[in-house]
Amino acid sequence: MYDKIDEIRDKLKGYTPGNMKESLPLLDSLLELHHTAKAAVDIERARYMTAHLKQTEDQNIPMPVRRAQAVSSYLSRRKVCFHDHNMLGGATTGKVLGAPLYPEFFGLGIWPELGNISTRTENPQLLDKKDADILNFEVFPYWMEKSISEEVRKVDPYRQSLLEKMIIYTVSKAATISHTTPCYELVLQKGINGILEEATQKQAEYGEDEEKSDFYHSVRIAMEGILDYAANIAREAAQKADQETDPKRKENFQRIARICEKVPAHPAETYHEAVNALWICQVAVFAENSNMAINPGRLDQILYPYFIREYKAGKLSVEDALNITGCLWFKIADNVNLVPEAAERLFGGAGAVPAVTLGGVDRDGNDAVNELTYLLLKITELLPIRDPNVNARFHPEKNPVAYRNEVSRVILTNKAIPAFFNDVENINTLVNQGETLEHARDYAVIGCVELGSQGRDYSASSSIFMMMYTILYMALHNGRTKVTGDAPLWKATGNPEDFTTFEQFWDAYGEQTRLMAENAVALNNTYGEKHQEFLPTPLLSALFKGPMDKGRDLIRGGAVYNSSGVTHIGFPDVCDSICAIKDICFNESNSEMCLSLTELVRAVDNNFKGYELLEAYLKNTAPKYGTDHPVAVEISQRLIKLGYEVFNGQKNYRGGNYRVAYWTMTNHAGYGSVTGALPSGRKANVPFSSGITPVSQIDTQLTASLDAVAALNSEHTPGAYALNMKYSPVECSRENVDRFGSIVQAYMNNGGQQVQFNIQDYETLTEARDYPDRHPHLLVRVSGYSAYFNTLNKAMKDELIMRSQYNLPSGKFVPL
Amino acid sequence: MDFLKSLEGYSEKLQKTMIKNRLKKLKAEIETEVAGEALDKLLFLLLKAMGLLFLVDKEYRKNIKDFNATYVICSRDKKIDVSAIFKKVHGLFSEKDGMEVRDVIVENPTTTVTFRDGKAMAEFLLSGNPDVIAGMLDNQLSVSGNLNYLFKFVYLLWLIPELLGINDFKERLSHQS
Repeated sequence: MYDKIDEIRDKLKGYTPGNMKESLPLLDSLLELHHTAKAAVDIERARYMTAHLKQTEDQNIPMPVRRAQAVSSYLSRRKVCFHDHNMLGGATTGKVLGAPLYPEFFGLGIWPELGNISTRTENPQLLDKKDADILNFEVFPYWMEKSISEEVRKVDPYRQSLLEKMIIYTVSKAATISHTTPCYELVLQKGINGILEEATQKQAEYGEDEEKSDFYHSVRIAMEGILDYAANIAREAAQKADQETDPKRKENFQRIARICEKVPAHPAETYHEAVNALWICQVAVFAENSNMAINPGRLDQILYPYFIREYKAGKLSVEDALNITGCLWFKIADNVNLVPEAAERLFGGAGAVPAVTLGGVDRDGNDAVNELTYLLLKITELLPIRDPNVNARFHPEKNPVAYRNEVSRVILTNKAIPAFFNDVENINTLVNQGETLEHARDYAVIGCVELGSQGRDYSASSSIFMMMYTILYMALHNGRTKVTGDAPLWKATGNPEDFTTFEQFWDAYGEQTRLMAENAVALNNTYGEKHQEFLPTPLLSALFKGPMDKGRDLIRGGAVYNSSGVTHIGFPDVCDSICAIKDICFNESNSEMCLSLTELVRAVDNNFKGYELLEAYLKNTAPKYGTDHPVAVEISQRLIKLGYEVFNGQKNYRGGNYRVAYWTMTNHAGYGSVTGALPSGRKANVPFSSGITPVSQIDTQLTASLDAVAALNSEHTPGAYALNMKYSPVECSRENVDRFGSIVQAYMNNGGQQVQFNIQDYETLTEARDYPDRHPHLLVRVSGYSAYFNTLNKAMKDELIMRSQYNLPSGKFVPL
Repeated sequence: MDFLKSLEGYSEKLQKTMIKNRLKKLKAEIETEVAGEALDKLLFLLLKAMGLLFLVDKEYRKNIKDFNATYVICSRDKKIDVSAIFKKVHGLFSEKDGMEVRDVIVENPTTTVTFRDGKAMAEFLLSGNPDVIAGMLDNQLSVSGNLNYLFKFVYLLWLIPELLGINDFKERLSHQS
């Protein structure tokens, strides 16, 4: 580390959100543009890709090559746009804020909305008539039989139909794989030309091995697409520079032209070159893979050599670095997902959730916090925007308290980001998954909260969503669901009257969990096989460690690690429900409330109509996860262990593990709003609690709540979890910052993996819901990612308001 | 007697005029249906209108160029059974892409959509923004078969009110409720 870290930190202190207009006018103006941009559907990729695939339909070209050609064709031909005075060349789409359309995934889902997607109630996305007609007549018809879901339906219509019941399980490969962190260091060090050269050599070397030869051939084609795209940016920027009369803007275009002539083709030498090279590669990855949680990764580590070399040489000032980095932040935020209106209920308000990871330890286990870490934290403070999703790794024994407190200060200042991740627990859980210690130490956060060794793990971390509500429903209704008729879906495991002990009920719950897991895994693997067949990923493969050595695409297991993620919706509510079942149906010593499971299920099925006293008891007195009640502690730990065990040993289509996680984006609100009551006392159609977060409005101390989560064995949650805490706003004093950091550290010392915060009170959020104009850009943490409060649906807004609020100085619960 | 059969023998110009007149009547019937309570016939009327629009509206017909598909629309309470068959239509103005409606369930459809009941179907059709995924999420409808075909079909349905000059289904629904 540079010996003048304090010098840089001192300089950074001069930049505050209040003086941005004067101190960083470019970023200030870009922030204003960012907030005024309206999302628009971008069809350019869909159009070029479709046209190419149509043309090559009967040419008997191997699929990896054909797909690489299609991607490369798009990259070579796509329009180069400069919407503002950003210092970086390249953009995800041709729109200021673009929603790219991926017809091979779920793009056709907006077909019914082609005429009114621009004016729909939930998060409209602009689409003009001309583009709608191109989709309707040229693009969509080609994909009607070819989208990945329809390919899967041809071989497993049964499990696909269960997916479409919506509330049993979700397999995200219908819409995306992505959810991974490339190794951008490769590009910065070798340049695309270096990768191209390697692919050319290896293709010649493995000429007789058809699969390997096709792979290297496809990599070459994809890399040429990136080079064409960068060259087009350079050419267009040079033309703009010629036409520009404003000297500053002219200089900016000239600089972009110079940089893009050089990178990413060649290795980067300066900070600006490194940042632009990384960004162009991120854009290129979106050409092949959907824009869902493709993560820039550990930027303070990747970019540090370029930053510090120039800074030391006096060629880069802190202001320059802030401007370049801020420009990257706006570029990363230039895209959102295209989703049908209904999907807004489940995934509403999300950006593309590209995660940036800071701090933690390096591959040797030493403190990795550096000057750039602080600079990136400063940008996070200055630019409270939805993307990137910034995450701060913290190793209590290795990282300095000053760093912990700086992260805490930034959270207290911008009231939402970054999230904290515990290096000790996260590295251990990755090692337990088979990663080497060195690789585990180099983990980056993926999308919301998931973990994966950067550039080595093709993590597909959002593969499966398990609906825990439905598992519990099946365990209480002899294997039936509400949406699949009167017969048990997979297996009859008993009616409530059949269970004479809690363990019998628990066995039924466990059996239904296992059956759901087996079916979800089978469907996910079928999707994976179809991706292997139709959607190879040579471009992304070239930016990973593993595929170039093995001569194998990522989708075929080319990466060093090949995990898939399984997250769970409704853990806290289901946990409380099982606690209640144990406490009042199978606890002879409970003299206050004792009734049969049959009676309890009847009350639940009637949404507690006529059972109001029982409902009150369940809500107020029954044991709750998030407290130190022994039943709650026991059940939460058993439940987490069960979730781990049913997936442990299951292998995905690439030979990797399924990593269990507990994060929910906005699904907990969306799914909660369409499901029935629960034995916890939760009534029908009420949002579930988010991620791993204890159910809201339980009257308990902050420390008890944190302790309950920290007590969960992190080896059982290798995909990590989202713990959402809400603090009343407080002055950002040294004392409060230190207390904030100390609480986080104590939670981590007890075993907590992750925690994120909203520094908001009930009143402000309620006002923001009722009067959106008063809080136009209010940024909140949802359950993994950040979102603008105004873009969330009402259920999600209500859930955020309802979240338990704690007073930071006292640690006391603040009732609603 | 089938309306289209009754047109045979007339000149093409006259046939088109008669179809347009029939569409005006259908528009009135749809408006009456929407204003009423039962809404039993709404889907059938819309599909009838769709079939006729394909015959006389060239732009609308572009949507189904060489399109072959069969849809079954029914309800769990068995009160709705309609099929829509997209194919080349012979006889009238020579061969064209068209659609035939039958009030029975045909075999081997491309896509089947099953509504919970007539009310769920009416709400879906009148929503102004028929949302397949929301319908599935809310358990108002289920789909069997190719989902992309349903997306296309819903788009075709969505175009009808505007083509008939019915301005706003959604507004009507809110007035009704």
